[in-house]
Amino acid sequence: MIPIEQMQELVGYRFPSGTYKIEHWENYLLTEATAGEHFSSAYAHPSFLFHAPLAAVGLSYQEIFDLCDAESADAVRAGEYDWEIFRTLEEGIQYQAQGQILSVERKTGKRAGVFDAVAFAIELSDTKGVAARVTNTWLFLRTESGPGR
Amino acid sequence: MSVMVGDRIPVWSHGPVTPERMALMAAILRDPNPIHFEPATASGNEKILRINQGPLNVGYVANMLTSWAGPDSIKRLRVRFVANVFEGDDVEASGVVTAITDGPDGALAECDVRLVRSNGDLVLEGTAIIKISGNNANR
Repeated sequence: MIPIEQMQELVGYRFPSGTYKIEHWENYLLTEATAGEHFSSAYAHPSFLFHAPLAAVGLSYQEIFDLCDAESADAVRAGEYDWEIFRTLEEGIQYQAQGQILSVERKTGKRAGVFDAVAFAIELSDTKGVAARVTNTWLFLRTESGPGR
Repeated sequence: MSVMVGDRIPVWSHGPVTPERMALMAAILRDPNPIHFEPATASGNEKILRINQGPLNVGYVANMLTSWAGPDSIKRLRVRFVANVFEGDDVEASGVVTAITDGPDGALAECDVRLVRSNGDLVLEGTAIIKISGNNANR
């Protein structure tokens, strides 16, 4: 198991800045995946607040798993999402993103056992300023026999 | 839209959750986690059910909120994940208005929201802040 001290070195890690534009086809398909109603406007489905910030900073799931020393892809769980929306995301707008890892806490749950809760925040901005801020916490399950760094 | 504290948001139901929609979401997200799309069996040939993605579960709550108040109505959504949704499950998103406040663009409804599986298990819970169109909010 990776020592918590090493995990806490991630606090303050800044993701690469980048941009993302939601295309109509992916908005349509993501809405379809949620079984949601297709909007007649260009508004993006709210679940893009999970996908767009990560895509904007250019990180794949696997890169985040590697960064946080995930023991395997299925040893990662969603913890909490906090999505603040100042302007609803829309198709066709180029959003700029910047973000960082806010905190790392090692905890023990009844069912999950030992896990590291990694919280990160990413802001998406358009030409008027910050359009949305997401603060998500992912849980990385740990085992005694799991690899350390 | 007229909104009062204590109002229940119309329930949004979906089911059964299908592996096809999970696979579609995995492709869009480029999520490599096989628990969302790959059929698997445990020892004894017991089938392991695929697990729905967290952003889909939140998406169901978002669908409830946008169906109720409009596609640009969500100003904040905070959720905590409690349990998983599996292929074959039916799910139900629900919510209740807990407060009405003034925002820069009009009235805002603060709501408690939740998603449950058909057996009643809580999947996620949280809070939402929703813009009320027409300022027709009753405190």
